Amino acid sequence: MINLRMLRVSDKSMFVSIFILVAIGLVMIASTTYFSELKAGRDALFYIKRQFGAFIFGFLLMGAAAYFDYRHLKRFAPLLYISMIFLLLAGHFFGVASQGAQRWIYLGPFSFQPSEVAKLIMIITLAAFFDIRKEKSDMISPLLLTAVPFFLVFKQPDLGTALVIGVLAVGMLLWNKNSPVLLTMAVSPFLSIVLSRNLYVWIIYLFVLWLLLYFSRVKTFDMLLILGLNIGAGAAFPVLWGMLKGYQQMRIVTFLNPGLDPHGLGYHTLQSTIAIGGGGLFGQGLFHGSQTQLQFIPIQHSDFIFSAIGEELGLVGSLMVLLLFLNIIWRAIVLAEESEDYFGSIFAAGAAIFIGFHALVNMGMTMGILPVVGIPLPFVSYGGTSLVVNMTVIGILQSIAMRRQKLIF
Amino acid sequence: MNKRRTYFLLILFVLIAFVIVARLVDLQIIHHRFYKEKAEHQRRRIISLAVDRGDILDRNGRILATSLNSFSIAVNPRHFTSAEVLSKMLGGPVGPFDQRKLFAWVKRKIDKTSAEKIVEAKIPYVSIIPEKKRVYPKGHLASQVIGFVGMDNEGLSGLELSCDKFLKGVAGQIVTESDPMGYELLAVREKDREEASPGMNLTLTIDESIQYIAERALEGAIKQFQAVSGCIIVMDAKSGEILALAGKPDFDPNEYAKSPPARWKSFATDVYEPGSTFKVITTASGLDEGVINLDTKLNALDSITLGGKVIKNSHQIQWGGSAISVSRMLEQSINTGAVQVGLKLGPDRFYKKMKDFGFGDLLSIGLPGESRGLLRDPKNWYKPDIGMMAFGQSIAVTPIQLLSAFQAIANEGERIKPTLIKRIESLDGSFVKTNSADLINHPISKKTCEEMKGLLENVVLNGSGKRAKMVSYRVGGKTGTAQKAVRGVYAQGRFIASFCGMAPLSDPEIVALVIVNEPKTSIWGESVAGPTFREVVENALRYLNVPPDVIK
Repeated sequence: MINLRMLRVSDKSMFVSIFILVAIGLVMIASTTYFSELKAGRDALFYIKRQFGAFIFGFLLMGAAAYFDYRHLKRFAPLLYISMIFLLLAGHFFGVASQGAQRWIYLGPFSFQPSEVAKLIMIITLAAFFDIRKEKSDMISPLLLTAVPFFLVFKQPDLGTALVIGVLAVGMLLWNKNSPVLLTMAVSPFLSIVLSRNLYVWIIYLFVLWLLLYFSRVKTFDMLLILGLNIGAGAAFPVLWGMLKGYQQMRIVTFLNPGLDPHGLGYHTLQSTIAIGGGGLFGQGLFHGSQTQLQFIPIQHSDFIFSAIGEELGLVGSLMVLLLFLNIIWRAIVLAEESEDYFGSIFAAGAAIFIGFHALVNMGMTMGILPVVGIPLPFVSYGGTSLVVNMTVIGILQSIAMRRQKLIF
Repeated sequence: MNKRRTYFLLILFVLIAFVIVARLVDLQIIHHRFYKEKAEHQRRRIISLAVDRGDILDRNGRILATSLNSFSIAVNPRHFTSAEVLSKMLGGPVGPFDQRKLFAWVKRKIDKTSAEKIVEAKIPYVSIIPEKKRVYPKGHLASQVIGFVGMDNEGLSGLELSCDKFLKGVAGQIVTESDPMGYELLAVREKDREEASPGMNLTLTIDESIQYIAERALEGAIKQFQAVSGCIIVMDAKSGEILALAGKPDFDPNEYAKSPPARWKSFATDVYEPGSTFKVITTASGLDEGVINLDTKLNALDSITLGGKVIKNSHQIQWGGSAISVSRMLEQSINTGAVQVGLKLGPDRFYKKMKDFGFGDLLSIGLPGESRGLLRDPKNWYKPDIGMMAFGQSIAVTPIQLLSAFQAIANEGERIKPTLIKRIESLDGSFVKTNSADLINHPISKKTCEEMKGLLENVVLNGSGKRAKMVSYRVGGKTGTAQKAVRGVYAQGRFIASFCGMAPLSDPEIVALVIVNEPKTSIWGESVAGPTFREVVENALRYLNVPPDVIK
């Protein structure tokens, strides 16, 4: 049961952080949508009302999750995992696609994005899995576990969410294994993808990698696996590239050169970068950003809301948002460290990776230093499912926080 | 618990956050100005307010092109629903329109009475916008010189194109801010309104009457000789002002789209091979350089071989190499005689003289796309070239260049820059640009000019120019019959007949060049271009009240 003593050990700074972020989000959604909706003759408060509704629902779920003993989630994990697969398949067959990416499922007046829910369920599933296997876990099983939702989401096609699920799996795996060999295994293939463009450089890189692994007395199996992953990544990249949808390829291409096509996909990055740059130190003021108010950034209220913050609130506002996220990440990592329960610990680490990856990649893409992959800014971007899921994650983190040390009881 | 991974994850996030902070500072502090200006630039929208386009006038102020008030019909496609009503009133289909737009033209430039009817009908979301319609009251007259404008009064051809920056004036503008679709202008952000200034008037050196005389004569010649096309240039011998620049067939600039584009441009500024008229340049060069004089004897050979190339005369007369004077060479247009003058000059002197006469250089009379001709440097000449150039082959000149050289001969050796535009003037008089007779150079001496006049008069009195002879004025000139080169090969049966001359010879007032392209019933410059020259120049001189110089 929950009691006052437990509430006292809950992480209040985390609560405060997300409330401020949600508030900033509501204000910025107002700024990006109010006048344009008014001009178009629609309900000017439409987006604000919906986001606030989602916040209320998320608040209730967060409270429930905090109250609920998270340890029970371990038992529900298999059921949740199967439900998730079912939801993704349902989304695949019955869902409605919007903006060429995420699918929606409609249940009467409510609608939600199964892929957003999948992110949360994957954290729970992987945490439960590692809780059973602990550090002795092999690598193939969790990756196989991840592969199913990964490809279902990838086929939607939702590159952003697939990326999140992939990063979650690899991140939590590394956290669980806590080994430099694994770290090499996770990071080195990406270098291969980059270097394989030049065959000679790539071969030298592979040779140096082999030397390093040989003299580090890495087990032959691991060594072969790492080298195999590297060669596979370098060789398979062009093939995988061909599997990407045209617009996904374009996103990556225009990321590398946004000036290429000012009215194509690079347009988004370019306009967003201009907006943030135009903000300056203190911003142009709420409802006064020219890029934002004149709608130079299409659907700015969702994935590109950070550009409105940058333009209207300036460096000061942007840094504040960044610090709030860093606080949440820091609290989650500390929680992972302090929680005596292995499931709780690894869930907190997963949550830190989850929120941190979303926030930092989203900011990076709006500033033109990362490709546009369709990842929302947690708590801030317009999007009910995402907000509810994120608040539920915070609720579970609070549940972990309140039960982290047995001494308290 | 293991601390190592905790630090690893924390450090990883802090590092990424550091990159983001660095980028934020880069965008918002270091490059703030750059992005702020970029944002401003892309939302700025300039709305032009219609202004009067300048008029084009002839040298006596008679209107060749002007602008009238007219009305255009536009709708707001987002809300406009009365397509049928409007369609009935305009007598044509209306729409469909792009529903996303806030503005679409329905019909441009209709007359006042039709516009007033639509105003009275008060159809919602229909606007009547006053516009300026360009009109050319004289129709075909000088159309190749004047050119025409497009629907938005932008110059597309002729002087309308080349002088567009003067004619169009400064459009009044409202600078506003707009969204990326280009509409939803925020009135509150209206920046500033610059005062419009109407376009400048262009006064030409063309005389409407002489232009008419030339066009009528040219049309007659083309019809009579079943020619493809033709061109006449009449120039004031003393000032270099072009009094008429006629090209046929031409077009009506009020309905330019109804004529094929080939008719839109005169070939007065395009290149051609001048043929025998160029012997005048050769002879004048020879006399001026002193390599020949009026008593020099040339051999009237039937052919000359130069570097393997056999040069013959064009008229089938057997001269048998008899000794002839320079005058006789011009009079009978003997190619082999002209070749001998060219050889006496040698490449360097001949080249320098041709250069002095202006060949190979732009004259910049103001028409778009003027050619500079082709006068190759002597080091690139093949052996026969010097001989061929002496009678006007192997060289490409523009009609205006040839006439400009004749102008120098007529004007005591002073070559004046040819002009087509007399004056450019703003309505308030704050800007005036006048072209005055600018002396370019003295290609030949006054003495050579006097000798040349005698030679050219002889051509008209006794030689190939007989048909250019006038009743009241002494005339000097030279015929030309050039075989047309098509893709570098002289085409069988396709000729350019021409006559270039001056009058009255005692004190030349006018130089003129008549070119008839591909005449069929007769090919000779003498019979095709000579009479046309006489008709145009005699009428022009009478019109200009030039006293006769023939003593009867």
